[in-house]
Amino acid sequence: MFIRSRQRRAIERDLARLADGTLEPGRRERVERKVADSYELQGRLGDQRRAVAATRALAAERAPLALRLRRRALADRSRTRSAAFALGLSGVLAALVLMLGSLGGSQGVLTVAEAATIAVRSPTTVVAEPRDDAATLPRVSAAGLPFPYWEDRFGWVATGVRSDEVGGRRLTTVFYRSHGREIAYTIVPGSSLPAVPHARTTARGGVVVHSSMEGGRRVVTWERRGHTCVLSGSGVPLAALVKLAAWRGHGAIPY
Amino acid sequence: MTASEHALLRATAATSAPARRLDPNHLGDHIDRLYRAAWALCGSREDAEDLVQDTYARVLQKPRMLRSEEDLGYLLRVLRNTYFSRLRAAARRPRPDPLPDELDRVEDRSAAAPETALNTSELYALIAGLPDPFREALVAVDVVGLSYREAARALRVREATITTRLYRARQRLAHALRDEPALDSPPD
Repeated sequence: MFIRSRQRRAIERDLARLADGTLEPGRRERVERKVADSYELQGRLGDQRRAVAATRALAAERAPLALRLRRRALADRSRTRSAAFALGLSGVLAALVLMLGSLGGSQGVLTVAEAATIAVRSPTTVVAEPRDDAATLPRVSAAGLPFPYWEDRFGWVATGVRSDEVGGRRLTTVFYRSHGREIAYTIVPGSSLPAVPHARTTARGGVVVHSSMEGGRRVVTWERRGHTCVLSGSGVPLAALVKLAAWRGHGAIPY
Repeated sequence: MTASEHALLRATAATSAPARRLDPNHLGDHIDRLYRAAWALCGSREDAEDLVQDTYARVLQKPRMLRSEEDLGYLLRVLRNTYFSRLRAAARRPRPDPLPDELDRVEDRSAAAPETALNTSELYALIAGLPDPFREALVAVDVVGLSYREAARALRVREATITTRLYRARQRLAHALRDEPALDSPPD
């Protein structure tokens, strides 16, 4: 009984490997002869081959775009965490140097919350009107990236701009107003800001957007050419902010 | 020597190999295969997406060191462990209805045509309905494309066991495709 069971398993293993082509050539000939002499084995081999063909047909199935974007966002966050750890380490070293009196100022890791605080400040300069059909604001840019002109398309009027130095970085913010509500669009040059814990990630038009609440304001962040963009507003729906963040101005807004 | 002793010996041999760090930059290369494996495990496209996302989140949580194991085999093992963790967790709590998310409605050019998706869904459902050991062998070898040896390492069983389970999984699948009851042995 035991021997028959072992033999049965051995022939099952041979048939499995014969069906998918992984049976070694010497053994293959012997098994093929055995199969040729048995209708039962031919039937079993046929079943094996049918199943292999069916599952191999699944190889055309690709992961959906939304899943790919979510994986990329996870990888970005992981990299940001590593960078933040490295920055944190260098921060500790800098603090030690400070204690020795070698430095006069401190530079922590800039966070989304800090970048978003600029939104409650006032603009210092007005924004010029763009020429007709423009998708970007004239003479306002940060890290080589222009700010979008949203008035014609979305009704958000650019009301002013300001520049701040936060955490050692020069942040440029443009303020927009529509129906009594104000939003602020800040471009943070340089490496990505650390991810906000529990931020929600969505994708629109290929742009991955993280959203969170900071100080009662809804904040969305995304990247353009490796620089972090922060758009925030109070009483503005998330969908509206995401729509603005993902607008490419028919290619005029570089991403 | 018992099967578990064999597996232990194999694991010991594996751990004597030099360790290398799993490169997070290349993990995205395996997303299609993991997605198919997840779908075959769960039997549902939506659950598969969540499972793959959870798997990546778990793997990316901290640096991973691998010994004598391919990335894909390791990822499949994490996927399988995550799947069973989720099953156990789901059994302990009521499942809420998923909330509609308008913002995720992005055109997906990688999506299959609806009629193809239907057939694909049926096939995945058949695979998901196989007994656990059979389904895992089929997913590892036929769906993900691991060699028998890699599959054995990923699932921590002997290569001969993988081959036998694979044979039986295919038999059951072939019968199910013909809408016939399987005649072979129960899972060992």
